[in-house]
Amino acid sequence: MLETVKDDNQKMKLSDNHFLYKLNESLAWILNVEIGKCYNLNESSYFVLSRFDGKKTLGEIRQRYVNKYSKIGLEEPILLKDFNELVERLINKEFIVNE
Amino acid sequence: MTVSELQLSNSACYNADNHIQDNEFYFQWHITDRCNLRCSHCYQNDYSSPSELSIEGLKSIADKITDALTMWKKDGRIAITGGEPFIRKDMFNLLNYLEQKPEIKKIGILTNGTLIRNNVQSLKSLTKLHYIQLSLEGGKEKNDEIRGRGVFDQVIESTNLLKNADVPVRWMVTLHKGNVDEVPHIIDLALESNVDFLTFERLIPTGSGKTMGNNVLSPQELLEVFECIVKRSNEEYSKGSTLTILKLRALWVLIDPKSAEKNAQTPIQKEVGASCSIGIDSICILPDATVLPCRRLPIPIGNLTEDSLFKIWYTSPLLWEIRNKDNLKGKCKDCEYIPRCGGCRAMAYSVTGDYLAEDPQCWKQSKMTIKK
Repeated sequence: MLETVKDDNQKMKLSDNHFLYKLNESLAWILNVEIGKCYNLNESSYFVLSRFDGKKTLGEIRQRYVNKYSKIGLEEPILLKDFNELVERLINKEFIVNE
Repeated sequence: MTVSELQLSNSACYNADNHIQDNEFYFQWHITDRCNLRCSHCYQNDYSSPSELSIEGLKSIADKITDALTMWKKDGRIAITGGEPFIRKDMFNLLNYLEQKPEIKKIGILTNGTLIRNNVQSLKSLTKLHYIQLSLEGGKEKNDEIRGRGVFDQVIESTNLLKNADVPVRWMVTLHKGNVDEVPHIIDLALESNVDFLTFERLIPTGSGKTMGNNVLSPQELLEVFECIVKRSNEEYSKGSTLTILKLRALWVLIDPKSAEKNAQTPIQKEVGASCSIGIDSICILPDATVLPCRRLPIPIGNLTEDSLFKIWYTSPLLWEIRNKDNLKGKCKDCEYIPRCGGCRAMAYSVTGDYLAEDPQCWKQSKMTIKK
């Protein structure tokens, strides 16, 4: 699965049976409209998930993620590791699919 | 370190800050629009019900309901109503189906009370039946003026039949200018009839009742009748009366905010006020499976023959707008009583066309003016 994540030109989107919603700065969810599962999202998860629109490449989203969170003092290698792990989980849970 | 997190939520996905939740989810399910009465304040304006579901269709909806309850780990409380639900000969087929569902814990039936006589034994056999709710508007003269000649006597007879069969009875009164003076008499009648629960709803001028807009109580009138009801409720509780007067709706909290501080030991007789449950833990289903946020807020948000309950519950923009209390306007915005009030969104919509507007019957500022 990580091989897929490393393809920088890959374009992915939220799967059709998932819905993303942010109520305010501290409350956001990804909701499965078929089977009802509901996941709380923290700010960075929402930041990443909301950018999978089928238009931006994985590389672009990764760069935006690094740019945003490096500003608060996190080191790039840690951010890249976190990003890859998160995207792997998003794919495994079928939250995001290939465009 | 990990900066990203995914955490599975077992709830119905939303918990408003400070919102006191129990573990129930309430479905008000209108299985028919057909009715043998034509009450002047009815929220319906069509009684033909051409698209009502077959019994198999109803069972399919019941399955969707229980799927959702299982996922959300909620106990189901279903109120079957209409129209007049006893008009459907297959209602008991549905009730027996619901009885078999472990996710459904409580069943209520909301009826006009005119078709009870031949159904008491069948009702008595239902193990999950929590109450039968009969509508009443006042004494004989006032009630029959609104609901039709002879209806008062039938409601009293039905109440007696149900009580004799040990079926819990609730009376529901719709408050408006035309019957507000009857409230003390209705409480006396409820006591005489050994009614278990008495609940008061405000007239929402929608459907046929839209022509009764002038009968909506003013904030001051509503304050006065609520004070009267709370006073009588407390007196009856002190006397150990078996009658419970329910006050679990918006605005009641304003009568006595201190006593409304609910905890696990608070008896239901002393509970005052409750937040609007739209988008939190209730939904309304119409005879054709159209879903409304509330029966008195007639804006469709989906249809259960086409969509899963999850899809409707999770993706409706209206539900999200109402869940976010920051969206409320006027007096309701930033009100300290939002967790136990939030105003009635149906009343706001009916009067102003905006379901986020302040509750037009809220007297909060009016009361301050009066004190001056």
